[in-house]
Amino acid sequence: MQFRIAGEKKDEKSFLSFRKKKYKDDAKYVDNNYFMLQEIFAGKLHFVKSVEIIPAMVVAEESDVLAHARTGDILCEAIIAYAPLLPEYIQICFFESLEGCEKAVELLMDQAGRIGKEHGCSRIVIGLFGHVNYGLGFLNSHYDSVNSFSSLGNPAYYNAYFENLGCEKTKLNTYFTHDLNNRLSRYPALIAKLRKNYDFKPFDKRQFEYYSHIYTDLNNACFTEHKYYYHREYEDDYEMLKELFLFMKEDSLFFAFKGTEPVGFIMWYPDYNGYKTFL
Amino acid sequence: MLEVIKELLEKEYQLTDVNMDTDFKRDLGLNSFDFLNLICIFEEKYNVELDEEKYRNINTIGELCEYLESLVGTDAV
Repeated sequence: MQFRIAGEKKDEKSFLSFRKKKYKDDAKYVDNNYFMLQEIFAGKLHFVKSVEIIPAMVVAEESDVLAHARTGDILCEAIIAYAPLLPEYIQICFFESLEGCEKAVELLMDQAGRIGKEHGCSRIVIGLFGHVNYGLGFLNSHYDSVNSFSSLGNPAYYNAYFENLGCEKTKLNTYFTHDLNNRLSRYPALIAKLRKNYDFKPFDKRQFEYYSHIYTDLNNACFTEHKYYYHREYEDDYEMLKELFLFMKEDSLFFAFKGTEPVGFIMWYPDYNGYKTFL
Repeated sequence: MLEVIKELLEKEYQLTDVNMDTDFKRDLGLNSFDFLNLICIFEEKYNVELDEEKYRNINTIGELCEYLESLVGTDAV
């Protein structure tokens, strides 16, 4: 097998085709990252101006004996990313792979490690999508459920690949489901106090720049201690929110103000993956 | 103050059989929102502002009693 950097347009096309083909007939997975990858390759995102992006793949050679791949087929792929503001880590992002490709994944990791050393990195992180604001981690349970919008989706063997390579697993997020109808009625005193002391305002597209800057400032203030977070520029979130608000409503992003000072936000949205044809 | 807290827990969350050592989370299964709601009820009841730096470290009914009594006195009802 051969490690290859997707340096040409035809390689980028192959990179995208691989994941498209992989999930084409998969009723349990919606690829929410495809659009972002297209934009990364087109160099359209501000994020790619500050992060070094190396699309990479491991392809089968004639000597490889693989039941499900022919010579030249992609066995696994990822974007190897280096963010100068997260200098300790070289990232393996947007990882996808066929099953039974342990050696290919090992080769990918070795090459990511080599590139990382060239940049002075001491660690590899797998599953960070360039920045935590774009995505983070691998799915670790409920593999047979359809992934909801913006949430992760991967087969269990992805986790097994990296565990078997001796990677340390870091549990970062746990998701809960709540019965919203009962929840708020349980806390009338708390809600009354919040309403008295804070103002809540939805995102206002007429003041897009103003509110998107608040979003960036709050993220940068709140997540300084996060292991994988690094400083965001206004342009990064501005363009991310521009895309989200193509279909998201303004009340999907609410800010809390204490007087005139923004102190928090919450972003929520319905599961757009429920409308598969939309995507 | 213990009786005040007991009465409130029964009224708001239908919880009885509590004492000074009862832990809100471990023994009663209350989450942080439940606890904050209780704090807000006391703030409203006694017209005081509770200090988050102090109440965030409270785990038991006894600790809450002690804190509330330091603010409103032992005779408050």
